[in-house]
Amino acid sequence: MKWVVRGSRGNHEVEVERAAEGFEVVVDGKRQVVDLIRLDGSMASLRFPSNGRSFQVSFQRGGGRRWRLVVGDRDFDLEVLTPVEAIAAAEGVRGRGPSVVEAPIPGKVVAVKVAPGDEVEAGQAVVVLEAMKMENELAAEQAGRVARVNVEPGATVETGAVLVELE
Amino acid sequence: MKLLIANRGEIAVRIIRACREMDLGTVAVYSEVDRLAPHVLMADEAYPIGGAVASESYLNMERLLAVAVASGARLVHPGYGFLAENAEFAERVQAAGLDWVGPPPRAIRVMGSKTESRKLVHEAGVAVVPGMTEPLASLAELEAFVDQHGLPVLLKAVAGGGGKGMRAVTAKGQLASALERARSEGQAYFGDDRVYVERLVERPRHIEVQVVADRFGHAVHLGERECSIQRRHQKVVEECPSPVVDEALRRRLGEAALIIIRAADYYSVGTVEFLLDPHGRFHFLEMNTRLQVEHPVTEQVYGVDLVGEQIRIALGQALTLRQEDLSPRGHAIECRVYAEDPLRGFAPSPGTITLLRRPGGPGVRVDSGVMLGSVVPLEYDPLLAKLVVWAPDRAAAVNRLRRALQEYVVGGIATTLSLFRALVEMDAFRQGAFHTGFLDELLASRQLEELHSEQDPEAEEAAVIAAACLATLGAQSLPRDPFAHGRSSGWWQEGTRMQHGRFPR
Repeated sequence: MKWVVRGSRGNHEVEVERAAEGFEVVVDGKRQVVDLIRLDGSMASLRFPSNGRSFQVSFQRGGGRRWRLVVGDRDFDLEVLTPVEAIAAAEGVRGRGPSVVEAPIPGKVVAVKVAPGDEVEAGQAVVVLEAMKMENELAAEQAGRVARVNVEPGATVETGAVLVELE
Repeated sequence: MKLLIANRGEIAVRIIRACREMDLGTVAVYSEVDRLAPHVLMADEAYPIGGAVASESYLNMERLLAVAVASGARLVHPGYGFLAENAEFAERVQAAGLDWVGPPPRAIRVMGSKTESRKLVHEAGVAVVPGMTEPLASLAELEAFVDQHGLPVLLKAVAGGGGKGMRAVTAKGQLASALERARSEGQAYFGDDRVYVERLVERPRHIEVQVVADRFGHAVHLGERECSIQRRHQKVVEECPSPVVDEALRRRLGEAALIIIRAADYYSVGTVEFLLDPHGRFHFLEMNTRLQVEHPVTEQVYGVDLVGEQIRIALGQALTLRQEDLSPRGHAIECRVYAEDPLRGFAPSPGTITLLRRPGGPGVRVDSGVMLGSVVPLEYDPLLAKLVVWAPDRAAAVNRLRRALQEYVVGGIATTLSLFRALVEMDAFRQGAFHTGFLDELLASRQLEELHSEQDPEAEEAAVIAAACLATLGAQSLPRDPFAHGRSSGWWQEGTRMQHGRFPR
C-alpha cells in the first residue's frame, strides 16, 4: 500500500508490501526489508535484517490518521495518509464543513467569551478551559460568526467536545 | 508520635519516607479519586477527606483539622502547594494544639505577600527587582507603570507561586487580557485576585538559596539551586550547584538570604529566590516559606535530609548543622516529570499509566507519586515524579541523566520525559549556558519533534517505516483492527476497575 507519512520535517512517500517475513518498504525511493514483531498491544520491535539495526517501538493511535510513536527514547507524532488524502490535505480541503472549537483536553470551562451572532477573528480566544491548574485560552482557528455555544461556565467537558460552532 | 500529611502525590510519599526514618507514625489523607494512590497505600493510617475538587479535600481546613485531631497526630506537614503557604491554616493547626511543620504564620503572611516581602527585603538592604510595592488598583495604573518603565513587564498574583497567576507582557495591547487572566488565576488558585507588576529582567538566571533555621536564632544556608530551565515561569529542570555560581558569589547569595530570613524572624526550611543578571548582579525575587519541589538536588549535594530537619525544627529541637561544615559535593540535576504532552503544546495528559519502568543504578533517585495502573486525575498539579541524578561533577551528571532518561518508560499518558531527552543532547544545556527564557525561546522556534529528528535521524526513519507498516496492517485487517487499543484495552479497563475500588480480574 502507498502512504504519505507527514512528520515535522516534511512528507515521506512510503510504499509497504507484506513479504514472506516482515515487510518490503520503499521510503522516498529507497527499498529495504524490515521485520516488525508485535510484542503486545502497544509495543513492537522493528528490525532491519540488512544491517542488524533494531528499535523498540511503542505506538498509539491518535485521532484521525495520527500515530504517536516512541522509537528508542524518541517521540514522534506522525500522520499517515493515503495519497488521495495527502493531496486533499495539501490543497487545504477540509471535510468538516463549518469550523468548530473543540476541547483539546478534558477540563472545566471557566469562561465563554463569545455569544451566538458574534463575529470572531482567527486566533481570537473564545473559551477559557481550566485543566490541571492552568487556564488555557482556546482560540477560533478561522474567522467566522458564532452559530452556537454549547457550553456554560462551570461545565466539565471531555476531549473532542464541541464547545463553540462557527459559520 | 504521629505526623499528618496534608497533601498527596510524590511529596506525601517523600514526607512518609522521612517520618519512617525518624520512627514517626504517618497519617495520610485522600480525596475520593486518590483512594488507591501510593501515599495512601504507604501510610500507617489513611482517612478520606472529601471530593476530588481540591477545595473539598486537600484545601478543606475543617476536615483536615478534624482528621488530625481524631487520629491523634502531633504534627501536621503541609508539603508544598495546597495549604503549605496558608497562614490561617498554620494558625489553626497551632490553635488545635498541634505542631505546624513550617515557619511561623506571621512569616508566611509577610513573605507570602509578594508586595510586603519586597518592602521588607528592600528595607533590610538587599536589592529587589524594580517594580511596584503595592497591588495594582486598575488597568490605568498598569499602563502608567508601563509608560514609565517600558516593556516587557511581568504581572504576578500577590499570593501566587509555581508559575500560576503570572503573565509576561511584551506588547501594550496585551495588558488588559493579561491582567484579567492573572487576576482570575490568582482568585481561582490562591483565593486572592490582587496582582502587581514588576519590570521583567531580561535573560536572567533563576538562582535560589536554601535556608534552614531553628527557633533559637540559629540559621544556615545550603548554597544555591539553579532553576533557569523553565517553561512559562514553571521550573522543569533544577540543579545544584549552579554552573555559574562560584564560591565567592555563593557566599554573597547565602549571606543575603540569611539577612532576609533574620529580618522576617523566620524558622523552618525556606527558599530565597533571586534573579541573577548576565553581569553577576542579583535581585531578590520572592521567598517560598515551605519545602520546595526541587529540594532533593540540595539534599544530594549537601548530604542533608531537609524534610527531617524541618520536622526536628517543628518539634522544637535545635539545629545541629553548622555553616562551616556545609559545602557542596558533586552535582545533582532534577527533571520534573509532568503528565503533559510536549508534542502538543504541553497539553495536560490525564489518564491511566499502563506501563512504567523506572531508572535505577548508581546515582539515580526517583521521587514518585504514581505507580503502574495509577489514574492521573485532572484535578491536581500534573507532577508525576521527579528524576534526580547525582554525579561527582556536572558533565558526569548530564551523562547520567541521559542514561536514566533512556531507562525511564511511562506508557498510557504523555509525559515531559521526551522534552528532557532532547534537552540533554543540546550544547547549551550540556555547557550550562542558559537563562530563564531559554526553553520558551527554543520551543517557540522549533518543534520538539524536529529536535528529535535532527538528533536521531535513524529513529525518525524507523518511526516513518513503523507507522506506515502499522497503518498497512490496520487497513488490511479492517473492519476489526487488531491494533486498536487504548480505551478498549484490558489495561484501561483494569485501571477503571481499580479506580472504582474493585479488585481487577
